[in-house]
Amino acid sequence: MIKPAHTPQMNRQTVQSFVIFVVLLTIAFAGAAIGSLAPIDFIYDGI
Amino acid sequence: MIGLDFPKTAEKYFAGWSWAVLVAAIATTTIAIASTNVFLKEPRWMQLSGAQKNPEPRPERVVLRWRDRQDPRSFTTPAETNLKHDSFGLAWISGSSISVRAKKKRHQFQGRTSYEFTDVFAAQTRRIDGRKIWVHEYMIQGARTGDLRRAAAHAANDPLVDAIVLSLNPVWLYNDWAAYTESNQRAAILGMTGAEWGDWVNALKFSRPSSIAGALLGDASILVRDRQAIARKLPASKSFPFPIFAAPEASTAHYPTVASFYGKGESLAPPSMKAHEKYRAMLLRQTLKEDGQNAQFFCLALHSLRDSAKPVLLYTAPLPQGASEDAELTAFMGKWSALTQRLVSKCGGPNIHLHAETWQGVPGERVHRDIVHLRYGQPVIDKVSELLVSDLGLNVEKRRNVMLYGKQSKPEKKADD
Repeated sequence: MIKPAHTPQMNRQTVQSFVIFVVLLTIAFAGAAIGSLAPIDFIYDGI
Repeated sequence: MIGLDFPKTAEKYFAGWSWAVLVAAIATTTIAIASTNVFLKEPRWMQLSGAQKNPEPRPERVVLRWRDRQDPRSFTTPAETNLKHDSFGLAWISGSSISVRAKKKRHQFQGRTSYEFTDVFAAQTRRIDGRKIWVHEYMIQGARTGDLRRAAAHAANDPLVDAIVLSLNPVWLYNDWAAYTESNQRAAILGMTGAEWGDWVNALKFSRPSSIAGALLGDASILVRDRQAIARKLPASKSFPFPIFAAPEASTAHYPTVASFYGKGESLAPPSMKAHEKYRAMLLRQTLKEDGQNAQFFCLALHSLRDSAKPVLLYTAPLPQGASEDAELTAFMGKWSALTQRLVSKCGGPNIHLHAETWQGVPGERVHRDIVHLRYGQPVIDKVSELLVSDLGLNVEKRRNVMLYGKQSKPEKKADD
């Protein structure tokens, strides 16, 4: 009998890596969103 | 060193991934970010961040709808004002030409040297069409026509606004050397009601891709929309300077001097306008064509104002008294006014009333600080008030016995005021 490819251990690792990926991507997204804000000084270029 | 061997770590966690798992992980992240509104309530501090010092109604019945130029949200929402729609809302959209800086005591507004036309108008006006008023101030520092277009779209679709006054700047309205003021708000129009294809074209021309993405995702995600508010709360240190709030060193490298736009002698003003020579030269540098960039912005703004069906008054911020004696400037402003009239006819509607001729001034004392900024300008406010009646057909009821000017304490108001 062939052993199934997805053992419980594999699934646990996949879930773990899935969560890590989602968290990292969310942090990267938030960082990009905040980091893309240009700092702006008060400029009185006029009118 | 943080003690991680990234290739080995990545291998450990992600070697067994199929493309399907990767796609699922990206989809999960996108859905999680885009659905934050479902499980996250926007706290008040997030709403008020970036709003002006007192975004809630002021005693003078002026509510400031504009946010810091850093904040991509651009303007406050009706809910953030805490106002009910039982008053008459008059939006006043302008650049800083409505900001007055008094020098003499007799020109101070209720003891204040710095104030806006909106403060005075609200103080001197009791009711419009039988309802108490709130003046919704849309003032954008250094506003260019792209910014006015965004404000026009917002006010046109704001349920608290019943009528709109828009101040046209005679120096910048068609000045294609500047399409927007410096801000993080350029793409905000894409997330607003009333955005057109033309706004998409302009956003692609002038906005950063991140701003466009932020504007589009903002409705779905509080985290994206309020990113400036969140950024302000993050602890930044010297060792980890994030987010970056300090603006880079001011540089004038991008801005050629006014004189360099001209051949020798071309920018010279006659004696009556000598004091305003540089701004006069900038004024004469406008592109008076219907297909000019800023003319297109103005046309889009007129579309929003037309579609709102709200009564709209357009007036031109007056130029200094000497402008009418300047033949070249007068001829130019004649063409400027004609173009404005053509655009209002082409892009506007019957609810829009244009008074481009006010560039020549209005009867009464007016003290200029520069070409459009004032140290005293009550006659301009009176003229706007008069046009609200004569052109927009509004019933403007003024307060009696209100002392507006001079260094004195603010008069007490009755409870029902």
